[in-house]
Amino acid sequence: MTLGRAVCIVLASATVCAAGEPRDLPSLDRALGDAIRTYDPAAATAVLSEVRVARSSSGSPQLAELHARAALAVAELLRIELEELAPGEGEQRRLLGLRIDAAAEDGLHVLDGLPETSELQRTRADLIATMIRSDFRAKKYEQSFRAAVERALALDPRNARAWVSSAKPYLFAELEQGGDVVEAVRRLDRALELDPRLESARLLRAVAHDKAGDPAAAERDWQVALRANPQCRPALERVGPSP
Amino acid sequence: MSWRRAVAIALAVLTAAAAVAASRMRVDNRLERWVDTDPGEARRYHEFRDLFGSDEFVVVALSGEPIFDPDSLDAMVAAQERLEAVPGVTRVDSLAVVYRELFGGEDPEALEAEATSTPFYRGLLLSDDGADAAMLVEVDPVAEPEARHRIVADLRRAVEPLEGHGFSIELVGSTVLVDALDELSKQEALRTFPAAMAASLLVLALLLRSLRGMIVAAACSGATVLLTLGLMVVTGRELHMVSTALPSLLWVLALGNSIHVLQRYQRLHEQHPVDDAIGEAVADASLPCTLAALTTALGFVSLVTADMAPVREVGVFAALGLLLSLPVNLVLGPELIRLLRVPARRSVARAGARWSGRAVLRRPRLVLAAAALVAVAAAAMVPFIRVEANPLAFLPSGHEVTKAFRSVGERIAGFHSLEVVLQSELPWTDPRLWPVVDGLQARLEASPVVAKVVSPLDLLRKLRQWQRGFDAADYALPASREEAEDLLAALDGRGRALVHRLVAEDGRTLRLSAIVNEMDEGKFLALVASTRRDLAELPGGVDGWVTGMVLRLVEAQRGLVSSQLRSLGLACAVIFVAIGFGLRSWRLGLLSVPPNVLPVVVVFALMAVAGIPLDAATVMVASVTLGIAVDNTIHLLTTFQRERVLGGSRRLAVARAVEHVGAAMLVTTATACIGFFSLCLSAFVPIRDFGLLAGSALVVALAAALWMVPAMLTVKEKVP
Repeated sequence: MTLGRAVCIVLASATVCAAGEPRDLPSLDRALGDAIRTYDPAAATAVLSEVRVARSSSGSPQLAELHARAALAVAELLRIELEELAPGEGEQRRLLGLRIDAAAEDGLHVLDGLPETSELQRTRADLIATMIRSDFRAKKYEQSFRAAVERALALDPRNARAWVSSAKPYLFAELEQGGDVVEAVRRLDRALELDPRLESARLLRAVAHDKAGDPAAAERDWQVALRANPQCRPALERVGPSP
Repeated sequence: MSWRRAVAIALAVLTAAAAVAASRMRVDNRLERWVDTDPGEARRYHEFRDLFGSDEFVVVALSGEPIFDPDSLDAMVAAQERLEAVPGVTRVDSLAVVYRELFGGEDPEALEAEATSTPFYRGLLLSDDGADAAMLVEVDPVAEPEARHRIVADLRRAVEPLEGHGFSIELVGSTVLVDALDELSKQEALRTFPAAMAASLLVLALLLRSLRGMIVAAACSGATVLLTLGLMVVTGRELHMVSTALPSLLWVLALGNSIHVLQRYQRLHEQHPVDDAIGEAVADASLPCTLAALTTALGFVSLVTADMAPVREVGVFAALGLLLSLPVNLVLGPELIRLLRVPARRSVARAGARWSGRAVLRRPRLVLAAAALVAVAAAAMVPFIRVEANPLAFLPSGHEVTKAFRSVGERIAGFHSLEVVLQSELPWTDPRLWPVVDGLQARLEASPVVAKVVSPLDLLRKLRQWQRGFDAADYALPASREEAEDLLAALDGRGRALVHRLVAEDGRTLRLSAIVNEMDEGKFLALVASTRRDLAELPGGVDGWVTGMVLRLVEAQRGLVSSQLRSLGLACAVIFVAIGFGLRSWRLGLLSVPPNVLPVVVVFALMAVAGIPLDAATVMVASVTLGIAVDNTIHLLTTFQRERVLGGSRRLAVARAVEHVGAAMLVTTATACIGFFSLCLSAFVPIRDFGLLAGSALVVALAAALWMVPAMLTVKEKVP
């Protein structure tokens, strides 16, 4: 167990003790959905803590799956905070990095004990993606990320989230290292065909359009994302609140 | 109004205008100023810069804290960002940038493994023991002095917060060195000139025994200095590390002729009214003063044959200054004497001159034998002169920049580079070329003065390691040209920029940058020589040459010896012909050779014995000494000729000549020597050495003029 995971468990126990009566699975699921929708890492962390405690007395696969999703939500929301850090805030970057890695490792650990599904592999890929924050880490995790994405799509070619995951390397890599915005947009289009309400696909496509030099298309996606979720932080930061 | 008064007023007005212009004088010690000697080398160097960019960099050395501690790295990243924001900085390489760009600023252990597991960073960004780090800051090579000073100050400010984290910071590199030279020479210009002036004036007042006489002489010298500096400013010239000595030099040189006029006036004024004494003194002094100024100016003009532009510049402006001193001393000076009513005084130097003349005339052969002995002994020492090419040696040994260079050179990295350019028929990604490049790199690295050789092949090794997941075992050359090209094709813009600093766009011209941690010229030139030998033995299809700013500087300095001899030979020929022509006697022209060459030979011997190198400043000593020494001889010989016309023996004519002008010679030499010796107060080593040598040379020159000339003129006459 890493130091980060130990810290998470101690914090989780402390949070649950402070919160009082534990919530049931549907409540936790809803709470996690709310945390994701409002881009609230503290709320997601609270859910993750509760799920961890709940799992210590229950072997429910649904709870384990929620555990992995909560870990992913925490990692991704913290990752957004990390991206917003100003250069030179090394100490904060390192602390956030530790928390992201701890959440991601926790989630990956949970996934190891679950039966393989497309969504499980997609979650694995996205958990790994949160740990890729530098060239060094890209080299370290790239292969396992690609393997998980390919497996997810092989298991279910209609998994919209897996298509979003598969678009990430094309969107974020440099041209010389396999970056291809057109391919990223194609994959994100596919994801939105399968699930037009998928916020992550919409946001990434906006970024992709921006990168491809099509600000009008990007603006349309930002606006759609904002209409679907008025609390969508990336869209709010980009275009401001919708009228 | 007489024409003399009109000219005097015009000179005074011009001097005032020149003073205003001189107040805008700037100082520039850029290394580029010193190296325009070989157009071929210059072309190659510019070609190198066009291909690969600047070889001018500042090393920021960090020590005293664990480098791979997260806090240290954060502080370094912050410093990196501040350095990158400094105007004039074109690039910053450091472990901080690797940490930031490759490791996202959050994996210090991984960075430590990356930095220490291969030799890639050692000797450049990291010390061998991993305890100290360096940040390489590439700066704009065309920076002007003010911009350079601002850059260095900004760099210091940018890294200052690192000291708050416990780091010791040292800055080295050519930009820092030149800035230190700029600052020191500025300080020295302000310090040595007033010191030379004050010392000269004190001695002058004592010897002339007249405050008003001293004021006249000081005003004439001051006007000469201001007119020359004003002329420099108007023609767009700046002071540099050699020409900072020019004001002091002109001060003492101009003083010589004004003293001769003053002494003649004072002697005549004992028996004649002021106006008559002035007219007679000017008439009497015009020929020797003009001849002396012209010959001294010719001595300086001989410096135009020097290879270094700053030395040529000093020669030209010193000569112009001396020409300007003529109207100042022969027109403005006498008008000032008239205005101030300078009183007649019997100089204390007269008794000394008379005694000296009598003593020599009793034993002329002994004097000549002693002179011959000194000349032979001095000539034997001349071959032992060493030629210095260490700009660091221009600073005093205790200077913080000197200490920083030593410290950084010993612990972390080098501070200047020898650039090796290879041109191949094969593309650089062709493995058949790699053994040649690696072999050359290994031979360069075998030199004790090379801290590191930056090679494009090492970059290729590193790219392969990164591409394969950062494992140190993968730090090796690719297996094939295809693999190498794939690695390069995968580079982003940042990576391509890095490659293009080592490989030209054509892919067939490579740069090996040997980072040198030693300023010792002998060791550096040994490295250059062995590298040139290695390059001559390259296999067919591969060609190479060495270049670099420091190499150009060193080679330019090496050319100084021949340049010095050339300018000295020319000066001798021109001066002695001028004397013969001026005195209308080829015999006297020939006779003037030994007493004027002797001080020059003694100066060289002194340089050899004292270990004073022939460098940018001391290169001027021989020609300057010759020019100044000749003044005394001319005054003595012209007076001797006049006395001979009056009748009597040669001995009598010599005795009377020594009595008439010996005092002025003594006063002039004492005043000039004080001026030169005051340069020894300078913290600027070349100027200090120059002052010592020129002062010593003048003492020898006076002895030669006062003793050798009378002895040579009378050696054939029997002593009564």
